[in-house]
Amino acid sequence: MLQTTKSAAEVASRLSGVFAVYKPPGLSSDKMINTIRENLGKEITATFPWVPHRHDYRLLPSPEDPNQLTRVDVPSLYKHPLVKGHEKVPMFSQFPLDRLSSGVVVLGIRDGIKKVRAMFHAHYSRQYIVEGRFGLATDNHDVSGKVVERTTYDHISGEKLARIVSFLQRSHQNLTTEYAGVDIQSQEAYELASQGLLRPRMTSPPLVLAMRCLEYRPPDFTLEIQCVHETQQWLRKLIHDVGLELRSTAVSTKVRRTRDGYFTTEDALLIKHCRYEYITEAIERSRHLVSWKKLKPDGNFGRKNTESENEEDR
Amino acid sequence: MLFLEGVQNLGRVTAPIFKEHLGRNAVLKCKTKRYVHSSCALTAKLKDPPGVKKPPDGLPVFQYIGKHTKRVNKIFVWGNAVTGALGIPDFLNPPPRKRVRKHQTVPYCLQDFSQEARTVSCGYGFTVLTSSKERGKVWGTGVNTDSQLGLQKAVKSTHEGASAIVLDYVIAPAPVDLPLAQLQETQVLQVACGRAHTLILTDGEGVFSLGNNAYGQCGRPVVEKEDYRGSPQVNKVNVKGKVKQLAAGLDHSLFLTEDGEVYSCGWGADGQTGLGHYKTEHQPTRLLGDIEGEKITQVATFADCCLAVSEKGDLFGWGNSEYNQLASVTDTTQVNIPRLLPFDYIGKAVQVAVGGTICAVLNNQGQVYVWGYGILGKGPKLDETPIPEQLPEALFGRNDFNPDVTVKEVKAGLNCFAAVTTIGDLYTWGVNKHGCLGLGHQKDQYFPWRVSLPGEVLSVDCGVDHMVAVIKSLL
Repeated sequence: MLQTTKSAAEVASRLSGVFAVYKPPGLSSDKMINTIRENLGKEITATFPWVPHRHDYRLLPSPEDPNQLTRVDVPSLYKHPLVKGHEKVPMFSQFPLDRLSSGVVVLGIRDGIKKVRAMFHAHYSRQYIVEGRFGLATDNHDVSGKVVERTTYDHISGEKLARIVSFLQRSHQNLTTEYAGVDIQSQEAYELASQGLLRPRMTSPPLVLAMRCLEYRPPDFTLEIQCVHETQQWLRKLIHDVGLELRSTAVSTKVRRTRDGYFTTEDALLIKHCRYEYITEAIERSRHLVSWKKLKPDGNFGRKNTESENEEDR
Repeated sequence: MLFLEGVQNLGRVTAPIFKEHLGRNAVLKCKTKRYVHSSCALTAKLKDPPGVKKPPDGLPVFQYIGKHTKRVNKIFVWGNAVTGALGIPDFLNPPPRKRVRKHQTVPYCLQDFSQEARTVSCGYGFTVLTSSKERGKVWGTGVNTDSQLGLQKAVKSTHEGASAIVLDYVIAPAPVDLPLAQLQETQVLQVACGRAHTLILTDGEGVFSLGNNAYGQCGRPVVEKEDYRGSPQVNKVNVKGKVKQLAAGLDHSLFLTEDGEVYSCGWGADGQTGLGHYKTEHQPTRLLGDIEGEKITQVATFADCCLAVSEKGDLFGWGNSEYNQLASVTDTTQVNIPRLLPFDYIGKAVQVAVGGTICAVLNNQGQVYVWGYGILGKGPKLDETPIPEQLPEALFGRNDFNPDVTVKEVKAGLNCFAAVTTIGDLYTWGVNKHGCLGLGHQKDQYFPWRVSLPGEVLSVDCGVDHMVAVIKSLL
């Protein structure tokens, strides 16, 4: 029986992949990741049997003949949980969320860390639902900060808000194509632009790819934002800018990430479900989301080009 | 030994518990708190999300804009500033410690003229604007060598005394005097600028023309060796019927009446008057040919090629065809009578635009088709085509977030295009001489590119090397 079950050390070293966790607000990402890592190690140690990784031998007096020594194999204890503590699982997140925001955080375990780092170089877009409130200005652009100014907002209609949001979104469009990594005067740039594929493929300042207003119930409003290379504080600044453009002021009340690359809230585990069994299941479920084919942008381009060539051949 | 046995058995002790975990639901059912360090401790430690702080009562409430503030029109100009066509005197006569600016590559607000702006028209180095101001319905700026902006004078004071001089270049908008019978009631509807003449359409008093009349483009008889510089003459053009729309080419003029008939006068060496001959004509004469009996809704011309679109959505063309503009109906380089262009596949045409060597048509679904020679907007590969090719709609900002965006207006300059979309964006493409595309650089643009303007674009007009747009502020 023992031969068929894995040892805790083996399980901990075999566990690798990428999965997503839903972070609640009011908790820092570092603390969340540390806790998940500790709890996962403790769980693996407690659930799976300890098997000595090697045997030492001792020479003991033989019970039959006290003058002779016999060799006795004893398991090596220095990797025992009571000696070394529980198993350690390396875990890493490329795009953590700050303390005030919530949403999907993608975590890589062991070999998955490479893929999480590759997600950074693939320049995936991320989607946020940001809620704001007109009439206030605070020192950190969040509603929890110190109020520094109050303004009127009764002149803002839903149409005006939509107009400003659309304007801000379109003003970012040109910038996104400048960071696309192609010569804008080439035929390739035209081909990509006509398919709507010109998007940032190199390091750039934070850019909005798409933005729209979902709801406006004065003084609260909700925006859906797709962006790259952003921070959560920059999104709060964006809300502040929307307020300024409307000749008022605005603070953000919620910042929620609903999509990170290909990971949506559907794929994200709740913190209470961050246990070995669910994590392995989540890794298996999301394995196709982080295949190397998707992560390599050059591969993506190559695939697009071959497809278009095939169509021409037909 | 006992101790060793215990150590070896450690694994066996935990094995049955592991079996319980093999079924997925078992985890939820059995409470194995002793062995499984669940994350419950973590959730318990979570603090509540930060709550809303009530602002202090003593904080004043600021108001930056009124509740019923109206949106205002603004004029933005860009392109070649040397001729004064941009109407910004500071570019050519800079304040101390500033340099002369010859090119303006990004849109610049024409500050003092912004409030009352209505329509604009750009010619060859000059701009004519119309306003709702009482004094001066029409304002002009730029080249005035042929009095295309009327007689503009300035007082020059020397040590000998003050004397009036005629201005050849006007660098700030100056009012153009019109001999209007009813100064208060008459409104200027449209202006059209050619190479060196200006046509002005009013609602009650017909069409006025100013400037060069060497080929009869002003609609009056040609006078031999007439000096057009400093001439105060404003001619009232005699057209049969009520004029609805004007178009001015290089040295010819087109008049569209409300009955859908087209009249033309001016230079006809390329057949651009469409009168069946290649001579000049000073009296506006009705065009026949294929447009006879059709109700024309719009005419367009810029250089020597003319296009018209009828109410049924058919396209007609006449004039110069050196660059394959009309190659679908002729093998020669000139057509002197309006011909029906057989482009059925573009659907119902609603608007046309024609530049020096390039043509564009907009159909009722908001799709843009281009043909001719030059930078047409389909990348550097396509530089010449005799039949219209469609520009992809994604280039005009259509994406998942804006699925209904279509083009509502197309204009053409000498070698560049401008298109306005339904959500008020301006897209330009073509030859970027003197930065006339407004993109912030002077490199050619091979597909439509959005110009960043702080508002909703109402209309745009292209000159040879400058552009002017009327926008409406966002708030």
